[in-house]
Parts: sequence; structure tokens; C-alpha cells
Amino acid sequence: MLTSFITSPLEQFEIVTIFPISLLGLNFSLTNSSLFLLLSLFVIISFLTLSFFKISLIPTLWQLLKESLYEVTSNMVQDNLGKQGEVYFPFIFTLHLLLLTCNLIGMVPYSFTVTSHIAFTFGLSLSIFIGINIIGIQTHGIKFFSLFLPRGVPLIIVPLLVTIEFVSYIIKVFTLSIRLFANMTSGHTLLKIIAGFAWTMLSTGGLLAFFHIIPLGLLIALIGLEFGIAALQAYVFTLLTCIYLNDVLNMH
Amino acid sequence: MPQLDRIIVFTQIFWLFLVFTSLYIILIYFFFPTFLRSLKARNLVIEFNNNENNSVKIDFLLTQTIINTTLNEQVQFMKAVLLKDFALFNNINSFDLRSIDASLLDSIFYTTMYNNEVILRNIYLNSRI
Repeated sequence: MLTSFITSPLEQFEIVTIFPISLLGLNFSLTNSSLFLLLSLFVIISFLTLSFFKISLIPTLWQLLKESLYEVTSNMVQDNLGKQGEVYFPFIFTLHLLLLTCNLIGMVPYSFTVTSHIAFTFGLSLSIFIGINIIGIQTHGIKFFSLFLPRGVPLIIVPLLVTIEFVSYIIKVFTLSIRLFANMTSGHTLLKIIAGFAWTMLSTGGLLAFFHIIPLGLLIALIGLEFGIAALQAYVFTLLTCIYLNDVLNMH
Repeated sequence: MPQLDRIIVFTQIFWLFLVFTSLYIILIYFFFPTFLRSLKARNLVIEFNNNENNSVKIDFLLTQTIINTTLNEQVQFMKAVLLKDFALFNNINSFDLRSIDASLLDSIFYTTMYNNEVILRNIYLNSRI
């Protein structure tokens, strides 16, 4: 009975279709992933509404929290993009808020982490990448391709350098998505493994049952760490989006 | 790994775009004005308070300077008035011993000349005259 309780640590990432919708051969179905995405949208909107319910000159604590989040993002955009990045601020802020909420909702036990799926993060980063390229071509025109060729390079190493620059430019989209996905997946898997370990120790009985305290304490410490990672990865994703946007807007 | 399943890709991306777009629109239309109103109002209050603070500080400094100048002038005046009578002792370094001797001699001379005991006895220290 006990062995059936402990399942694979990767089982928590299983996607279950709740309401199947199929249109034109495409799968639009409402799954638990999209359910938690909608939940985080609802949480963001309700928290913002409640925080600004009685808006006053002296802020309430919730209002202060939301405003400090706003100022963190605003400073990030200001430092990286400067004056010309103000147009992109709403996008960056939306990105930060959504990723932060998804990551933190994922930390609730028995819930689902939306950002632990490569399809989600890769879709996000690929669309950001395409958008950044469009912005770059709009701003600089054909000169945009000088991004791959720094000034004052000897002619002999130009093919090599262009290849390296091109690859490192393309690889950004993969690193951006895999960083978030791998961090969330590995963290949640680790938590599940350690929890399973503690449970196995407890169920064997005897002296081992007493010493299950050790992995349990480790688990609590790791949960704290995971909360830090959840907030940090949302910040890093947003910051790197800003940096990539800056690369394209202010070319060397 | 369940993440590498191929049939779940489209639904995730579809819901991502749906949720992201709606969140973007809702934030822009409803929440950014609130954010800006709150932050800007607070900044204006801080700016106003700073200006007020600066003007009070300037007023205070001005009053202080005026008081200082007036006080110095008056003290100088008092010093001049007082030192006219005690010009002898106005400088401790150049103590004019000869003039002190002269004034002491003068006073002793006048005392022995004009202060005889009979008169002095008739002056009571606590007299009301």
C-alpha cells in the first residue's frame, strides 16, 4: 500500500486534459496547466484590485508591495533601456508579474507549475525573440545585420566571427527558456524526491522512523530556497529580456 | 518526462498567448493609471514638503543672521561705553603700572587730605540718604 503511495517524482508535471476542445485538428483543450495559468491571471487581477481598493496617499502594506514591484521593474527598464525603453515597460511588467505569480503558485503543494514546461517557456522566449528581431529591424533597417560583425575586425577572421556571433545570438532564445524550465523542474523534482525519502524512512519504522526528521528539516530548508529561486528566475527572465532588447536597440 | 510529450505543445502556447494578452490589456487599461496616480501623488507631496522645508530653513537662517548682527552691534556699543571709564585695564598685556601707581597715589592723597575720621564715621553704610 505504501509503495503505491510513492510515485515517480516526475508525475507532478503530468498534464491532464480537463475539458477537451479540438478545432481544425488543433488541440485547444483546457488542461490543468491552462487552469493554473488562468488561476494565476485571476490571482494577479484580484490581488491588484484588492491592493488598490482604497487607494490612499499613505499606502497600505499590499499597495506598498505592488508599488515596490512596479518600481523594481521600472528601475530595471530604466537602467537597461533608458528613455527609449519606456514604450516596452508595460510588456516587461506584464511578463514579470505573470512569471512571478506562476512560479509562486507552483510552490503550493499539490498545485501545478506552469513554468516547468518547456513548451510554455520556449513559446514565450521564442515569441519574445521574434518580437525583438522585428523591433531591431524596424529601428535600424538593414544595418541591423551589423550586429553580427563588430567594427574593426581583420578580414581573415570575419567568417568565423560572424558564425560565432550568429550562433550566440540564436542560442539566447534556447538558454532563456531552458534556464527557467530547468530551474523549476529540477527544484520541484528535488523537493518531491526528498519528501519521498522522508516518507519511506518514516514508514519503515524503528530508529529510522525517528531519523526522518533529518530529510524533513532539509526539505524545509529547500522549500525556502525554492521560493528564492521562484522569485529570482522570474526576475532573471525579465532582466535578460531587457538586456536582449537593449542589444538590439543600442547597437555597438 | 511528461514535458516532452508532443500533443500538449499547442494547447499550452494557445493558453499562454490568451492569458498574456488579456493580462496585458487589463494592466494597461485598469491598473497602470492607478499605479501612476498613487506614485505621482506621493512624489508631488514629497516635492511640496521639500519646498516648504527649504523656505522655512531660509527664513530661519535669515532671522538668525539678523539677530546675530544686532547682538554684535549692541555688544560692541556696550563695550565701547564701558571701556571709556576703565581704559586702564582694557589690555591685560600692556599693563600700565605707572598710571596705576599714579591713580593709587592720587586716591591716597585725596583720602588723607579730605577724609577725616569724623566725617567718615558719620557715613553709615546702610544709610538711606
